[in-house]
Amino acid sequence: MSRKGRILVVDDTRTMRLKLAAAATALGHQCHSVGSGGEGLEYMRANPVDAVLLDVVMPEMDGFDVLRAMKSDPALRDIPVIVISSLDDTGSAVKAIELGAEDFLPKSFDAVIFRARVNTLLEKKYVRDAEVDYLKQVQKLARAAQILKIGNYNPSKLGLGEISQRHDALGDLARVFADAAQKVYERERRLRQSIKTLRGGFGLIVLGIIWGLVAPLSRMASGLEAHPFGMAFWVSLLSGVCCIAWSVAKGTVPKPREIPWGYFLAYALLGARGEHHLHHHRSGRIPRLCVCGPHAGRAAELVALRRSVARPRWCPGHTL
Amino acid sequence: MSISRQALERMKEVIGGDKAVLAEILQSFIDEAEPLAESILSAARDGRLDTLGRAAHTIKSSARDFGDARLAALCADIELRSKQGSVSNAVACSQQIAQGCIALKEELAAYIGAEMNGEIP
Repeated sequence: MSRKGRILVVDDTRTMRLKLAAAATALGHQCHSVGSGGEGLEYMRANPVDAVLLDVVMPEMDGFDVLRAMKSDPALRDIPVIVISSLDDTGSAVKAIELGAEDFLPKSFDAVIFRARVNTLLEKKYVRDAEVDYLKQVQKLARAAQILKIGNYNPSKLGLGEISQRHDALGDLARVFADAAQKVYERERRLRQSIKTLRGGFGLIVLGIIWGLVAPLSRMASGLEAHPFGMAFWVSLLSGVCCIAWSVAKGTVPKPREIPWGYFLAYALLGARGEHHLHHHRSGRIPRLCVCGPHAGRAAELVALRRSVARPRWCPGHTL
Repeated sequence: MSISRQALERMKEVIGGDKAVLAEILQSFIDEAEPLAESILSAARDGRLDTLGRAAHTIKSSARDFGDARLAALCADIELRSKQGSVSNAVACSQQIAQGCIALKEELAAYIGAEMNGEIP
């Protein structure tokens, strides 16, 4: 046997423990020995064990009690046990087998019998472990199929990495699943990226249209002698309404607490001020900061005033 | 001589032929022999059949391993009778077992010495 088994020896007699451990080690297995049933159960619960060599006659907790405890514990139930009993105590061996022990060994065993029994037991354990492992991986594959069925093609969510390493039909199936999911996932990712790019492009076009309105509106303002601050206000309002309508249509309207009102206020004031200057420089004859409607029609008078005074700070209709 | 050279050779084969490990196993019995003898004597004197049976069982296993058939038979008898609850001459039997145990210990100690000195082929 090439594989190294992990064997636990449970015997209250030190001489017998040493003999069993040395015999198991001589077969190439790893061995751990304990002196009581309680210690044995404790060790099995904390460490992986492939087989147990269990003495029957022990003080406090005997071999039968250990077997009962093992069979009632789902974590220990499948660990195979060989009971060590005297040749003249076949009744104990029979009882132990009825309680779930796999085999029995007389205390005065010879090397050939010991090797045959221990190695056969370990082979059976490994076959069973492989079957249990296979079933677990089939269950994982079925779960991956369920995940794919609900439309999640992210390969990292499928958990097929370990199964894909297998060199059998199950491994082939897992690789087919993983490859198909990877392709669909990549295609979806590219599609999502294209949609984002298109949305961004559309947003830029809308923004361009809105800002493009500034120039004709400036001309209209100078022709109609409408006031630039008012025009700036309406342009900004229109942009704002567009943004709000977009977010309502997308269902991404932020909660009032999440909106950075200070930022928006500063942006609105600076934006209005900027647009005001733009209109002013384009029209060349409209005062810079007059919100007063009745004075908007006095452009000619203001132009004259500008020419006489270097930089008027306020329109002549107002007194500070 | 109580021990059997053949039984000890068989034990050596079981443990992979390592003389040092065999010596450790024999030494373990040598260390346990006196407490076991004490235990079986006191259990017989006090009438504690459970302890008497368990001590006899332990000595029996070792005696068989080392090839001491007579001691093993004595232990098997007292173990069986203690299970049945009828040990009429328990003290006398336990004295024989204790003596056999000490004798076995001495023979094993001699064997280890001979084995380590290369006197055993």
